[in-house]
Amino acid sequence: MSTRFFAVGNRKQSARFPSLGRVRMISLLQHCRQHTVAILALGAALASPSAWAAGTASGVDITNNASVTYSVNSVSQTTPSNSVTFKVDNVVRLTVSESGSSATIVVPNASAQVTTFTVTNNGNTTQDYALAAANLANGQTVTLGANTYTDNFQATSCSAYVESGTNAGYQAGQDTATSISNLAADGSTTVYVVCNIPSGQVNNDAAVVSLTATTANAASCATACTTTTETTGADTPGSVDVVFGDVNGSDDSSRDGKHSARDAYVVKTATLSISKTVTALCDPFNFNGTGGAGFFAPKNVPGAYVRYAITVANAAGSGASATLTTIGDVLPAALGYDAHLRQGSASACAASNPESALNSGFKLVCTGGTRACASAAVYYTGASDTDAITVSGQTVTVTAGDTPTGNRVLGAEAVPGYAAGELKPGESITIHFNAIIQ
Amino acid sequence: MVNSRFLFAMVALSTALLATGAQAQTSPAGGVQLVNVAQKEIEVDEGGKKVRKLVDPGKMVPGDEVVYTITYANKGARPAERVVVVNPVPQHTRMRTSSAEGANTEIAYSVDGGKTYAAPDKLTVSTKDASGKAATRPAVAADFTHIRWTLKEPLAPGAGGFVRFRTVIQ
Repeated sequence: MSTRFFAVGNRKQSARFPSLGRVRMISLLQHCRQHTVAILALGAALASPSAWAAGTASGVDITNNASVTYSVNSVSQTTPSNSVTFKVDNVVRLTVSESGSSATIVVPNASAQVTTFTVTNNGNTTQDYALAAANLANGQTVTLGANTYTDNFQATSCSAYVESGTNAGYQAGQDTATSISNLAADGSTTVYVVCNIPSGQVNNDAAVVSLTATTANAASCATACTTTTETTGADTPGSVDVVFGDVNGSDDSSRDGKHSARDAYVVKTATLSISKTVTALCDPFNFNGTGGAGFFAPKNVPGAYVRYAITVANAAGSGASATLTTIGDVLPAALGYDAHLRQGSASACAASNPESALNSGFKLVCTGGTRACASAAVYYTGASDTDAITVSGQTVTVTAGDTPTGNRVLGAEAVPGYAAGELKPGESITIHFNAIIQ
Repeated sequence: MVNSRFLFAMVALSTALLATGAQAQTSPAGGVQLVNVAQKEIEVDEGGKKVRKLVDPGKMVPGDEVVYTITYANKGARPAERVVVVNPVPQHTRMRTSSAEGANTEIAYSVDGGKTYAAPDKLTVSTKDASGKAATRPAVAADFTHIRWTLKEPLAPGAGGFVRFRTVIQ
């Protein structure tokens, strides 16, 4: 007998029960993805005036002229001075900043996870910028808001992409530029660092990444970025020289034409487990024996009823809710399905009372949390109707929450606050049903 | 380079000034003439002592300070009276507070493009108060459009001096 378990999220734990075959979890979506990239609108807000906002553009001539007025023998005269002029040079100043002051929450084995940065041209000249995303080594740290994260695993395949402006947030199909072209003085743009998260990470693991922007000559990155170099010698009168005026960032030095900042990925994952138990309920000879006087314990003989209980649990202390989609179970041909969830009795199996009502073949029990099903068991029919549990042939399908509408055993509950299919840390659900040995 | 004609004794412009301003030119001969020099001030180490010097401006970028020195001299044969030096604050720069200097001169400023001049504490500029009503506030150095130095004494033939102010490149 194989039980298919379509839940969402990690595959961390699967369990084998000797008489029941393998229990598998197939695709788990995690409830926690929404933290990743909600921060894009900040780019504009950060473009507020800096100390050098509206700095005089490079190439502008600044000219000074004085004049003197005086009288000789009461005759007034005016004489102008010579004119002095110098050209404003190109001061390279830039800022890379992490957006949102928070780490990106990820699950193990997730690909294309996004951290968000803002690159600002604080200089006085339109520039291009080459971008470099890096995963930092174990032990490197970053402080985001009130939290400091220390790197203990390596995000892989990190790349930097520039927001195209078409749709806010990282869009793999749109945000494909890997360098910034023609960022005007005082302009800023959003840059995403996109990395993959390896499998096998556990709650609170952190990977620290950095983004470094290197100033390049305007319009050069369209083909290949030409790094802007500082004019090291004397001033060249009448032409625009380059002066590096940048401060040091997290991973670069001052006055190097670069700036950098760090962000982090932090693992928050559900810790799901599934278990399946079977209990002999009633056989045609011993009935629902309890071992007490006059009764014998029921045995697994043809005609006997057995009670299955499939439990899906998200461990207490796990980092995130899981979102369950469907739970599937295929009964072997040797088992029939009891459509009425009979209790068995001292004198009958097939004719004993249903646990709830005729045709209510499934019982849902929720443990932990504040869902309605945690205060009273809920019964479902196995018919191919609109309720969330159906039996078709030998296949049992429990719809836990994968469809946006329709019936689910774990529906959305606005109060006390559950999304469809959500199983919070410390909560479990158990599906009970009977099978009849043929 | 400053033309040597203007290196009068009186222009022993102080202490540490390197008289190497940019693009000095002469005015027409005779009368009171001006030499206008843009420099920046740097700190150098001279035998363990830190000394401030005025040098050629070199590379200049927003935020840098420019020191303008206007040297005046009476090249004529007669005394010049009511000598007044006027310098508009260059475009793209802001005057640095209290930076105008000039021995034996009265210094006044304009905030209206040189139409009127007054002492700094007498100058106001139009603004709007919190409710959007027209109001005035005291002028600050950044509001000054022109600087005017009025010599207190007539300038004898062969005599001269200098006035100076500092601006910050916007």
